[in-house]
Amino acid sequence: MAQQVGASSLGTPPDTYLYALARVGGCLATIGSDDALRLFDPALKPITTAQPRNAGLSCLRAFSTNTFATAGRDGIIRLWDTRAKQAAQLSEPQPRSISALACHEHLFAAGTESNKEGLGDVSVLLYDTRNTAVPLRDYAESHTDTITQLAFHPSQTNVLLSGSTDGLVSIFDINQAEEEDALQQVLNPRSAVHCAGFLTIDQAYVLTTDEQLIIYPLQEPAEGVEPAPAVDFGDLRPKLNCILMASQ
Amino acid sequence: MSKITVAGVRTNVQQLLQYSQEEKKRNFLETVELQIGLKNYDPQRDKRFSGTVKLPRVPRPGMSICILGDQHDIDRAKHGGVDAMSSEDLKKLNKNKKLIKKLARKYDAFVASDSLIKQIPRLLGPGLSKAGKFPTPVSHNEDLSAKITEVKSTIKFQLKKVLCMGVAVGNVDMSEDELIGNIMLSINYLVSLLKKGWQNVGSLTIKASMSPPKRLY
Repeated sequence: MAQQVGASSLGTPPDTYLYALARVGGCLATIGSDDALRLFDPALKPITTAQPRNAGLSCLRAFSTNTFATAGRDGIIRLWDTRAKQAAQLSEPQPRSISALACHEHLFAAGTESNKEGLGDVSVLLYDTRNTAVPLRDYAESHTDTITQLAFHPSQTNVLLSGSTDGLVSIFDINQAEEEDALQQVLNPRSAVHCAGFLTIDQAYVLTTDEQLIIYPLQEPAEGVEPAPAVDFGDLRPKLNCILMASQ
Repeated sequence: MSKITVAGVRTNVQQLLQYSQEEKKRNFLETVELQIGLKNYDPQRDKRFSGTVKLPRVPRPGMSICILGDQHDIDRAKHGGVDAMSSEDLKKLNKNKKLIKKLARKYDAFVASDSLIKQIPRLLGPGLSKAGKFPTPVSHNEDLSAKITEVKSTIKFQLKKVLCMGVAVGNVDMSEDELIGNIMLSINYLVSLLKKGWQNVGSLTIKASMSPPKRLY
């Protein structure tokens, strides 16, 4: 059984939400609803705090040993170095808010937000860190609502998964520039996707905002063979005796 | 713990049906909408949710459905008098965006065989996703007509940046009990997803397309 070794509010104002946590080298980073980025050590001692102006921070991801990336409603992806304590701006500011972020080696995937009722325009964008002037890919047809989750495949790094509030999970082959060729598979949990990702190399999990967990097999069924069914665990709240599922 | 009683909802539903069926009957089938006002909720940072819930009764009986299926499901669809298309039919669209858009517009929803659903992005590209109509899967073990009823009776909630939302839960041709069943289920499902349950509910109102609103809470 795990034991709690420490607790701290990290000096946040009351009623602050901490959205995300990431481990970066020897320290930990978190972003919160007070729009601050906090860096602290494993003993929960704050190291530094930064408040990028009007950033509306919404995503935080570890990038390399000493660097991590943030993105937010200002549409800018920032790369931070724990040693330099300064941010480098990665992407050109774009008019759309960023609601999801994933990184792999020199690639960044960003998903945009929709505030429209009904069908909205959102994109899954892909950037190369060595040339951030224009996105490498812009897949704008596969989702119609806020992108909530992005994940790279653990071994096939050309495979990217995106989950959205529109209730779909799309799987792309990012080697393909044309979206209609890139889109490989669509999973349809029929509820807004809260978290999603690869569980193993050939399984994806989806947790919806109404707390349902579904695991999907990803391989193509052989000709004439009944495909393996998705495993639907249903509503997790009564099973785990909790009110909200939060993490991935 | 529920904050509204079936008896209270019943009185309001009776009045609403009385108005829309007798006092001011319209030339079209009026939809009954449930409107929810939230309080103490900050959609900027609190969970923005949307989800689907299956109601006991089909709220919109007129929905048109198309089956995208293998031979087994096409036969089942024909037997039940439902439109169906095979993967060959889909291939003939040749990924033509206009034709796919036309197909998406023709139906309210799609149901696809488990064996075919994985091929749909490759056959049609993102067209059905873009239209918000990516198919619901059905396996050979499931009853096709039950699946179609399930798709028709599923409604979608969507909480955006504003603190109110509305959702169609029925129509004025439904009986009192059917409407009450749909309304109660929708309310309970929704409240269970709110961070503080009933403490986040500011108001609950039902309203037919042309009727005055009736406040439930």
